[in-house]
Amino acid sequence: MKRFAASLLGALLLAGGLATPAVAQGGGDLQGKLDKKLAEGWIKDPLWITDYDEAKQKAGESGKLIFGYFTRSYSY
Amino acid sequence: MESGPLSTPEFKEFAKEVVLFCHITTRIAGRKHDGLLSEKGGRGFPYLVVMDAKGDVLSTVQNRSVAGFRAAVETAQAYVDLATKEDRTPAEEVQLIEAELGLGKTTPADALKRLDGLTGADEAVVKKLRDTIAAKEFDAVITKRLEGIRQASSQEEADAIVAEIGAEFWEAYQAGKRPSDDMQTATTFYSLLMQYGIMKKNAGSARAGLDGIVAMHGDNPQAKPQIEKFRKQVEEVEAGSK
Repeated sequence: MKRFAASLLGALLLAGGLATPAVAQGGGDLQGKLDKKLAEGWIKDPLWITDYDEAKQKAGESGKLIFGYFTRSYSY
Repeated sequence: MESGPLSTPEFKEFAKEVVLFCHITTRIAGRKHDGLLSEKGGRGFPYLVVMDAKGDVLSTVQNRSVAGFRAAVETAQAYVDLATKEDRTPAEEVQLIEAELGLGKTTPADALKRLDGLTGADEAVVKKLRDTIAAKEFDAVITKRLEGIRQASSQEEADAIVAEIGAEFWEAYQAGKRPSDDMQTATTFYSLLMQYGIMKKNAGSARAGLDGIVAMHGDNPQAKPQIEKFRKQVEEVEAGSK
């Protein structure tokens, strides 16, 4: 649904004459927001690796594929 | 995601089979790999992919459930098995070209060249892939045409954009061109086709756009109310053109 809404939005905004500026969300204490994100319970599971190079190295060593989850902290 | 599928016992089991990597876009200036999302083809959050040890994306998660995660891993593993297999059959070669096309590992032009040099593959399968390649090429045309035009600053400007691009898309549609099943590209294409049809009272364009949207999103219950609104608008155009 999100993708539906997002892609339709692009087209509908054209029709509606609304601008879609690349609004910089977040701002403020970005490091603090990251720290808050990293303090969440789910990510404290030691199986999660947040360093890209380390994840690639571990995948190379173990022969496993990397399951990548991309999220953000700046809009915390 | 985080309090849902990623926190279930099933996910913990799944996690043992892969290397779990969480990337956090922070917008902290100078932070290493902060732009990784777009490097890996992500356009929004959350974005879930399966990658190899080099960081190449091998599949993307379509269904955000543990079953969907497993399906994405299976797709990626099937690709790895195919790509590393020696003495591929012509049918497997076609599969590999198709997979690499989907992953962006080969361009439509290169895929065509490889297909041209292939003998012994099922003609119907090859034709299907040629159609897919043509759709990918058309996707590129659509994307290029839409570059930098989403900043309409007035209703008049927006209407002019829809009129201009909609006319081009309608002409292409009538010439038999269709986007691939890439959700975003196809939805934008058909939305513009529909809007152009509604704006210009062009029943053919309006209907083609609506049908395209329904084909992509008709089975999504959450999209239903919006689709019904579109349907009414299109039917009004059709009624007016009779």
